[in-house]
Amino acid sequence: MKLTRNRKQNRFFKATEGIFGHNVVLYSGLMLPYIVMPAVNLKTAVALTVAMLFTVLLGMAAGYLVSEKVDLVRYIAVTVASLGGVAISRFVIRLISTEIFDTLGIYLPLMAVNSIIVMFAAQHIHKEKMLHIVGRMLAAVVGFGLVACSVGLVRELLLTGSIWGVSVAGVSFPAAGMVFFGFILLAFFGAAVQGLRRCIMRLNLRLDNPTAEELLRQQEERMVD
Amino acid sequence: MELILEILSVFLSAALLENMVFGRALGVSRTTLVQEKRADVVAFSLSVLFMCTVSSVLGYGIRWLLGWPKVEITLFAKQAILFLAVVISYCLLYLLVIKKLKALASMFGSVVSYAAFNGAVYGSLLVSTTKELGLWQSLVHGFGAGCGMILASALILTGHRRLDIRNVPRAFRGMPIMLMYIGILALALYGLVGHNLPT
Repeated sequence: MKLTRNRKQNRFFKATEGIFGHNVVLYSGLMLPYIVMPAVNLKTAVALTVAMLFTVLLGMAAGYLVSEKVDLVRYIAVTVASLGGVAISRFVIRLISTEIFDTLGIYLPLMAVNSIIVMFAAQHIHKEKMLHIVGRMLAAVVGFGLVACSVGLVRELLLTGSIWGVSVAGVSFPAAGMVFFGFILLAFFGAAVQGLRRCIMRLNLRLDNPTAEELLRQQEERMVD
Repeated sequence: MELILEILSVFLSAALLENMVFGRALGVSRTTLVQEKRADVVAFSLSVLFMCTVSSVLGYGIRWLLGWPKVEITLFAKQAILFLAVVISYCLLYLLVIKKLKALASMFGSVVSYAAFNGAVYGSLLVSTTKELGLWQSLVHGFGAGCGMILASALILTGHRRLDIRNVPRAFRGMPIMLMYIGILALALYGLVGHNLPT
């Protein structure tokens, strides 16, 4: 059995680990609260991604510098540094829109204890190469941003029928802003990604290994021609 | 009698009506979603309960020290200072479990830090601060939020075990079906509280 296309696909997923392969939100289940609750429109989703970038950047830097073996020191250093990242991100978010702060509410300061930061704090990242860590961090931010923006887009369309505040359709479905809808929507997103991945894998297998039936059909087609 | 009723109302509000997991989606991460061992779930939930209760009291102390709301500082600065309560509570829990009670270290050791920096802990603290609760109310709110987290963890563990043996469509296996399950529970709780869906 040939597996050329699937091997190529697996290499792609491995290279994009955290984004397309094992997405940080849909596969690893990290950062779920920030997508389920406050990501109700595209602007908020972008603001969350910005906040995520700064918190993870500073948290990672602190985790890299504090090479203490004691968990106590490392966890505190990483989370306090990421709180500094939240403070910086507020200046950038203000440039997008000041109204976002109302939507984000307590979720912006809560970014300081997001699960990716806690995961970084748990690992002894100072043992890894700097380039590798930065790559992992950026992949996590891009993976999160991709899911947050997709969910934000769908919810904004359903809630107000607009995209980035510009009205595009006369739809109004207020339940799209509720917590349960966020969970259910994310479940469908996860299922769609898993289903799509399986479909592509099957298609690759069929393309690499045409079954007897397909060979017969191809022969018949040639005869007709 | 009034005091008991007030305490009960704050407790029920924190544990059920505004449950951190089902009401605010806080505390939901891979740690809570995929834990299969009952002992791990118990250790995680008890750590969160300890953190929520202690940090809420410390948070009230910090607010009192700052002479809230007399001091003119931004909301974010207040929220950032409150993080100190989480840090102190974590130090207490860490020193108590890992250093003093060594018998518990094997059970709690792996989950203490994850539980301490769980979103539900800081979230409950920020909520009690936003509501400007007094000392007793803050304490009961923190304890209630912790109890709510125990309830949510138990429900998630039960769901995880039952869904594992069901014939779930392939695309939904794993994380998607768990998110669907939590979403339905959140909807049920939303209805139980007496809310109507917005139209």
